[in-house]
Parts: sequence; structure tokens; C-alpha cells
Amino acid sequence: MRKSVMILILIGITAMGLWAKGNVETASPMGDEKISLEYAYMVESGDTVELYKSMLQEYQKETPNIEVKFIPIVDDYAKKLLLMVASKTAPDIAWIGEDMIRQYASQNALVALDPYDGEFFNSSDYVQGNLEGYTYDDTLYALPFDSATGLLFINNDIFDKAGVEIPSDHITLSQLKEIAKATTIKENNVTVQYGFVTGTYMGYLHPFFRMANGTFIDANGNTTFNTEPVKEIFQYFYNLIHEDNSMPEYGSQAVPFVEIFKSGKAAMMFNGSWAVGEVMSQEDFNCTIIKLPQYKTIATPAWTGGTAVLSSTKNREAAIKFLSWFSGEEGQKIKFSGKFAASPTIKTLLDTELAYNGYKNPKAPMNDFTNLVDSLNYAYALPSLIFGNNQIMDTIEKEAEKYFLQTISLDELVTQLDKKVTKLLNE
Amino acid sequence: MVFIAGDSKLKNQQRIGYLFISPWILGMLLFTIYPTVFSLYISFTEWPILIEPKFIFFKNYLEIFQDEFFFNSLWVTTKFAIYTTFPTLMISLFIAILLNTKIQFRGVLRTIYYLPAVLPTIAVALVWAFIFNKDYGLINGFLRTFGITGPGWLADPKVALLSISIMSIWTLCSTNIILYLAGLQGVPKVYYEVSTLDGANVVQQFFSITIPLISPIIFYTLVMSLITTFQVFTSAMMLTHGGPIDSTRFYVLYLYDTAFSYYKMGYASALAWILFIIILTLNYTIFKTSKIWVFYEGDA
Repeated sequence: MRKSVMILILIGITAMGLWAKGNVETASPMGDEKISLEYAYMVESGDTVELYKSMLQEYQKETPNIEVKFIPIVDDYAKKLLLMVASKTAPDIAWIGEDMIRQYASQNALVALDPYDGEFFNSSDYVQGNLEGYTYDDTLYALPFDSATGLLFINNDIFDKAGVEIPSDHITLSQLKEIAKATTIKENNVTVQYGFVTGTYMGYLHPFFRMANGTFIDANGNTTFNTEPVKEIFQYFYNLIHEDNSMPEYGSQAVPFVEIFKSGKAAMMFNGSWAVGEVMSQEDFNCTIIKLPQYKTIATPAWTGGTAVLSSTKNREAAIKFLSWFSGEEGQKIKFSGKFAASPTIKTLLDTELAYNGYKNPKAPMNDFTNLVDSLNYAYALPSLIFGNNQIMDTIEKEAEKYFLQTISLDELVTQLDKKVTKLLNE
Repeated sequence: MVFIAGDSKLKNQQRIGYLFISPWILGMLLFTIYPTVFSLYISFTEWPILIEPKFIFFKNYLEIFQDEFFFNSLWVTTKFAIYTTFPTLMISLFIAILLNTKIQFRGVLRTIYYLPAVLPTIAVALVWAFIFNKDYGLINGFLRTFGITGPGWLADPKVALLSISIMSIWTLCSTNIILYLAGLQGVPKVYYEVSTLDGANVVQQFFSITIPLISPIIFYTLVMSLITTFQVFTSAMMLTHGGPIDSTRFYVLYLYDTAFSYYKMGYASALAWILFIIILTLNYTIFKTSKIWVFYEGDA
């Protein structure tokens, strides 16, 4: 028995010793003491991680007193990071998606960056559309450091076989519809080749609403589903699916659209520029990439990745200093010199080869990236009040699914959307 | 060995005993009792995770009864429980009876039928996703050879719930078959021999001997199947994520989304407690009725 008590006491002493040691290491550094920061990213290994690690090493060379440790958070990044913040074990700096900003910023989990603008970084250096995605309640909470935009991918072989001329940039929505119809093939009343495919997620359809000068929410925060532009675009896609059969079914159970396009069963695909490498690297796949169609206006979404400083950091200034370097011109130059399939968010870098360096593919050389770079300049951020709220997004998706699966009418759809989204916005 | 109360050796042995079981007790307290009590407290709060919980009394519970998604998910889950539980009981009993007869490769067949129970649900769901695929799935491919266009097994809101039920029946049957088989082998053969002498046919023997004698196992499988079906999550998460049009949005899936997508921890905890009460009530009812239909050999 005495032996057991002694063992328990020894365990207790060891635990207290470890706890004390941990506390000494995490104590806030003073003066020239070495500062240790943690940077969280969503991938554990691979080229991107190696690239980021080399960036961290480069930063360490420049600022030897700041050490930045790489913390991988694999699978379910957003949830795990949130739980780390809640359990007070969050890293100092973290990758953050535009859709995460509202959740974190509204609960004071992120450091507002506006007070540091001009001192550590210049927000005017960044593309406006990318900055908008990281602005919540007129305050900047993260710096964008890579960006993708929307493009229309064309399967040249399908066009050749159908005898349809490959379209040029900014075709109209009517032209898109006609071309989709002309390149759709049906066998025994079943569509075996679609004219057009895109993601069955509202993020993919949103630019089309914007092209019609429509949006889901106005400047005053009121929903605008029951308006002509929104109804017109919903009807447009409904007709593509059900009247022309030139687009696959819309819904949570639809076949992944990239696979349809890659397998040569779709003539056109609207997707983000990240798909350039995946599509172009296929053998014997002749593809042309053009800008998105236009209607009343030109519109393409900016899908942006960014970095933020968590409020819980004990080294706020050091963290913001690192963030400004990492997401700034110097950091982005290193990042886009490597093979990172996205574009920079610094305006001056968009005029350089770095704007499309990551998309270059030796297997399928593509020389003209003008469309991609042009689109980046006018890309817009998806409205965070809508796209940053999972419950609102789920509601919109479900109602849209009901409409596209023909269980409710267009008027019922927009009425329900206005009613339900307004209720959720008011919560 | 007999110990006398007050004996110091006994006390020492008791202390050492407690020391040995302390990891389990600590685990139980930390990972079961504490979270359970904490979730009860959280259910009376509004807690979006990153800020402190705010006590709101019964507001979550009152809101639940005005929530269309709560009623929809409860209805979907109830339908699923009905579609799954009773066919599972009948099919597994039927297969167990077949496996209890003297057929060739009985051992191999028993192993094959038990396989679904040892396979990870995620792997099973992925295989069924392929089987159910509308365009290149196994079922529709087979139907196409006869010129029949199969439905979108997971894409059609009218069929999706049934598809998940089929997958669940296939999985649940495996464990039940083994249990029924054990039960059937425990029925004394002499009962059948005597009843045969009395002129009873196979059907009479089944309903008057087999069913009453394995009724405790039927009771157990019924209770377990109901609990399992009311807690269904992985298959729907993997195959449909509640769609299409909420036709497979089960209660636990809604609870999960509320907690980990919408970050409404208080509301999700209240949903969890309501589910607990529903399952408790259902099982209490089954236990109460079991006196009528469950036969224990030791009973007078």
C-alpha cells in the first residue's frame, strides 16, 4: 500500500514539474527574447506544405528572433480550429477561408487588422475583391494571400464533332444556352452528353445572379430573392436542366460535375481557376479556357485564401508582423514562384508571370493566361452575411433543390427564401 | 477465502481494488458522466462555442417545438425505424432458420452472413453509394440489361430513404442472424419430437415452440434495433447528407449540423436530450409490453 502511495506522489510531482515547464516555455517574451509563433494550415504534407515550410524558414532568416512553427490541422479544418479556439489551445496565426470570417470575427476570435494598416502592411496593395472577402462589419480581419476566379472551360473535341465554333470571351447567356443545346446529345431519351455543367452549390450560381444585376442581399442587409434578376436566373437554370436537358440535375445527389467534364461528357464547364491544372493535365484532352459569359454586367467570383491572427495570441505584434510578410509581396513572391495553383492577391504581382505561374503544366502547355489574369482584377467576394452562415446556406440550397427537383414553383421558392433567410439573419 | 469486517488486510485489499478500477471510474466520470451533466446544463443556454454560454432557461426546448426541421427529422427517423427494424427482425430470423438446417457449407455461409457486422460503416456506405448510383451503379446497370431505367436511388426524394433502409437492413441483419442462430440452437429438440408425435406441423411448431422460446432474443434485438435506427448517422452522412430535399435528414444528422455546422451547441444539446427521452419512452413501452409476449423458460 505504502508503495502505491509513493508511486502516486511521484506521478503528482512529475505532473507538476511538466506543468511548470510548459508554463515557462509559453511565457510572454520580453525585449530581444526569442518569440515562438504557431501557424496553422489545413494540410499535413505535400508540395504546398513544403513550400510553406520554406517560406517560414526564409522568414526566420530575416527575423531570427521570431520562430514560426508549422501546425497542420488535417480534416475538418474549420471545426477543429474552432474547437482549438474554444479550448484556448489555438495557434497564433491560421489559414482562414472567407466563409469562416463572420463566425470568428463576430465572436471576437480574430485580431482586427485596421489599426496596423499602413504600419505593417498597406491594404491598398491588395486587390479589392480579395480584401472584401475578409472584411466583416467594415473591419479587416485577415490578409488575402491567394486567389482563384471563375472560368469557362471548353472541350474542343466536342465542339469540333458538333460543328459548333469555339466561342470567344464573354458570350451572352442566350449564346451559352444555344451552344449548350447544340452540344447536348440524347440517346433513348437519356442525356449522354451535356452542353454545360457546373457545381451544384449556390457559390457557383451566384455570379450568374450578379451578371443579371441581382444579388441575395442588398446594402441594408435585406434579402432580395423575390426580385426579377434573381427569378430570371433561377428560371434560366431551370430551363437548362428541364427544358433543354443540357445541364445535369441540380441537387445534393448530383454526379460530381468535374468528373462529367473530364470524362468528355460535357461540352462546357464553369469552374474555379484551380481546376486548370486538373483539367489540362489529362492526356488527349483539348481544352480552351475563356472568360465567363456576360449579361447585363460582367461578374466572376473571387475565391480567396487568407491568413488571420487569433485574438488569443500572446505575441500580437510579432504575429501581425509575420502575417504582413507572409501575405505581403515578399511572401507571395516566394509562394507563387513555387508550383501553387492559384494567383497572388497583390495588385502589382498580377502584372507579372507570377499571376499564372502555378497553372503552368508541362504536359499541356497553355500560353495565354490573359483571361485568367483579367478576371482576377474584377472578381468580387461572395456576400459574407449569406455565404459565411452555414445555416443560411443550407436553407438556400434546400429550397433551391426543391425548385430544381420540381416540387415547388419559382414564386414559392423566392417567397420561402426571403422569409426563411430573413428569419435567420434576424436571429 | 472469508474476510472479517474491520480486518485491516481487507481494507488494504479494498483500497488496492479501487486503485485498479480507478482508471475505469475516472474514464466514466470524465468522459461519460461529466459530458452528460454538462450537456444538460448547456441545453439551457445559448452557446455559439467561442463566447461563454448564456443561460436562457427553457428557450431552446420551446423553440424546438416550433422548429419544422425538428419535426421533419423526427418523422424521417421514425419512418426509417419502421422500414428497417421489422424487416431486419424478419429477414434475419428467416436466414437464421435456414442456417440452422443441415445445409452444405454452413460454416462458410455463417461467416459470410456475419461479414457486414465487422466491416466499417464508412466502407460499407461507399460500396452502397456505388451500388445505388443512378448512372453507373450496379442495380441500375442490371436493370438496364432488361431495358428498365432504374430510379435515382439516392437522388430521388421518394426513394432515398428506402435505399438507406436497404443498406441498414443488410448491415443490421448480420448481428441478428448470429443471435437468432444461438437462440435456435438452444431450443431443445425434444420439444419438436414430442410435438411431432402429437401431430403438430412445421408452422405450428414454429409459432408454438420456436417463437416463444427465442422471444427473449427477439425482444433484445428489437430494443437494440430501435436504439440503433433512432441514432442512425454515418450512412446518411456518407451517402446523402440529408438530401435530397431533407428526405434522409435523420434526427442525429440534424443534431450534428446544428452543433457543428451552425455552432448552436445549446440548441443541439436540447435536441440530444429530447432524443434521449424519446428512446427511453419507446424502450420503456417495449419493456412494459414484454410481459405479454416474451417467454422466459424459468417463468411460472
